[in-house]
Amino acid sequence: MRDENAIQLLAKVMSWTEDSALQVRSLQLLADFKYDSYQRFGPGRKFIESLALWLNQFDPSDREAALELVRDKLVFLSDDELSHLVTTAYPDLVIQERLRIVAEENAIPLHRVREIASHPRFNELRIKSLFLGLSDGARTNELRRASFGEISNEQIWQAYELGDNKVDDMLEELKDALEQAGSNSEQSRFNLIWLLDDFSGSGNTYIRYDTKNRRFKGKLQKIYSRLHRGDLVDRSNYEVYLLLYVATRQAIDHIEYWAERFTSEKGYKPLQLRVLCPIENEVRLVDSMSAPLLKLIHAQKNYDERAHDKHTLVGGTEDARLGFAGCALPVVLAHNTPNNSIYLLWGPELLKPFGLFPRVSRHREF
Amino acid sequence: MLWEQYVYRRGNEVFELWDGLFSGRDIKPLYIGGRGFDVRSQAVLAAFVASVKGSAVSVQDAKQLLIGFSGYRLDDDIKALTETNTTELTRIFSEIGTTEELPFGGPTEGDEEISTSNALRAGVAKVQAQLDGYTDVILDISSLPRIVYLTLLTSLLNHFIPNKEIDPEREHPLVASGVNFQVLVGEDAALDAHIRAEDPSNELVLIPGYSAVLQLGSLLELPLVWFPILGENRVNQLEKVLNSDYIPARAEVCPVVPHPSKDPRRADRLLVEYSGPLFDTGLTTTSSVLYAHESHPFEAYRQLLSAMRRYRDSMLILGGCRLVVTPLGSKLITLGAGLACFEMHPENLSKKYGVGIPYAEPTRYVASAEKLTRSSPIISALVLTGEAYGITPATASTPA
Repeated sequence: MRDENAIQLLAKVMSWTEDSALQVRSLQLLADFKYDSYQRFGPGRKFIESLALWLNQFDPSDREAALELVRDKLVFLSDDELSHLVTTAYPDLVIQERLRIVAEENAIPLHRVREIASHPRFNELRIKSLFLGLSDGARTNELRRASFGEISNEQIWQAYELGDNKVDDMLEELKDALEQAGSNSEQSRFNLIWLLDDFSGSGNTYIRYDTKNRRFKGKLQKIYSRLHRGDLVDRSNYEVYLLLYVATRQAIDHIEYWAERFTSEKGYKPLQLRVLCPIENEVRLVDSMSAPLLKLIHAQKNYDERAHDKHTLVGGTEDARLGFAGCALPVVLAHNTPNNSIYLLWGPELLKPFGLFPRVSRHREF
Repeated sequence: MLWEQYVYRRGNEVFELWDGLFSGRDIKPLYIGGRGFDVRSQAVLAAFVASVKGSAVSVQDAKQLLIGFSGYRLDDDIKALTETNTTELTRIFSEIGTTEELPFGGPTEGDEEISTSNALRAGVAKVQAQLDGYTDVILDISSLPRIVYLTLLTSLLNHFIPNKEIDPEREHPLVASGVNFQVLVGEDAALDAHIRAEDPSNELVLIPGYSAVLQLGSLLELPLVWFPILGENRVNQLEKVLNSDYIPARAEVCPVVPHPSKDPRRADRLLVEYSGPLFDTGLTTTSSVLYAHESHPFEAYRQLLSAMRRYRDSMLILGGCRLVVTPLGSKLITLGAGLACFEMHPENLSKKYGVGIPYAEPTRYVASAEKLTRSSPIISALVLTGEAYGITPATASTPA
């Protein structure tokens, strides 16, 4: 739909008069800037038209509150913003960690950065770093490009489940790279493991405790047991980092607490969590909401029970109105809306009401 | 890139940095701060003095230079705060050394007001005349106006790094004869939002050393790329620059917004706030927007420097270009922009490109004295030159 028609449609749904021009301009600017790029919109579909159709589902008396959600609360992380975070990861996190380790190992003051970076161990640790993607949002290719050639193809993999052939290739490449660098390292094993992912809303995907079966579940449990097979990692000297481009405070607290319990119980090295863009609790749609917005989110008519399935059940809530694990987020990622956001944002297109940025669900989420 | 490796610390890490930096040597520090109303500088100075006193370090001839500036309209309670601040800063520093007040600007001997740019030049010359012999130069920008700290930052860098070229056969330029130059910032984002900068001056200030590309007739025909770094409540300052003769209608405009930020909607809100002059006029498009980390000056430096280099390389094919930065964002991003401008600035204008920093300084600051007094800032430290960037010859040959 053409922009002018979409704006007319929006004005009609909202019963706006001419004094709403400022609101329209702001929405149109942000649509151009990021909202139009939502990758789950159908072909030719743009934000303003989608917004009008989404608002049209609600009672006229609720529409202003729904617009308030978009205008004042929505956090949309565009593809460009996520790419920008990825470009900062290598120089501002990965390199800084290597500097810290080499400084500690060799008793060099941490501020002497050029001396540390010139130490052969700094280069050795570069070679002995392994980067594994935890989902298809991990942007492993972008991270490799952002390292300006410092991460080789055989040090980075888009998945954390590694076949034996892949491991053999990685170790062969590691051995060659160490020889080329003139390293006299006794072990051709990795020292630093970087686990990469784009977003965490609750942290449950990575680590959770199944009270019924009294065991830990999640990706971290699988990764640690894989690493401790001993063929890939130098078990006497290793660090595991979970690098999340975006994570909520709820997820950070959850992962830090349960990962500490998990690693200490199993005798593993503690997990080190690094987050490039934390989403603080103030952003959650629970405390500072206006009464009309609260009413909109909680109203039975604005929620489809079919959204609550065996996957959302794992989050421990009775319904998915506030999203998985009751995270109550107003967050949308350009490639998909996380189900930790409120239902009104991610509700699939076939449900009623549908979300403003309908989500495409993965087969297995948790 | 000069600061490919960098030293940046925040919060408690700053104390660890100072412990490492000062331990086991004699230091002769020159501490340059502002004689302004922002009492956050007291917390920064107190932390620095306590750290120096607590280190196993011998302090010799420590001196504090308090830069004064005139020409701002302030409410009476803020004026009073400025006086109290000066007294307190002098008292705190007296534990390790002496304080000298150094006014920038004001009437000259003939009682004539001089232009802000000339006042800045004269002030910086007075500071530079005092640098000899100090082992550590500390610039605390917490209580300094933006034009003053940008001028000091770029001119001190110019003093310590006369040659920016990196030659693997020679000592790295950032070693700067071993002088440790660091910049300190006391930050409190919540308080910053309550300090309003109003009534931008009609006289645009060109940061000394960064004016030729906007003034020399032979360069004025070159295409111009403008990087306005956006910050809250400064649309009128941006408009002053935009409506001046410095920004031609055909300029390439690349607004810089803070991302990531503690407030994840901040970049969106800034674009809406500046939509009138930047987007509604068709001057620029949303695809030209650049991002810089809100609280990581070296990331902002890297982003801006790489964007400037990209434009320079393309524009050189067309005959050259002028790269212009107007910093209206937070202090940390502004520092990053200052570093990028310093590094990008060519040693002479035969290079067919250059860097300019035009700025419309507010003439009035409005702040709550109570909020200022109650603030507890987070301290950030950037080490820009000195021993951090040197290499002990034995290190590189140590076997792995």
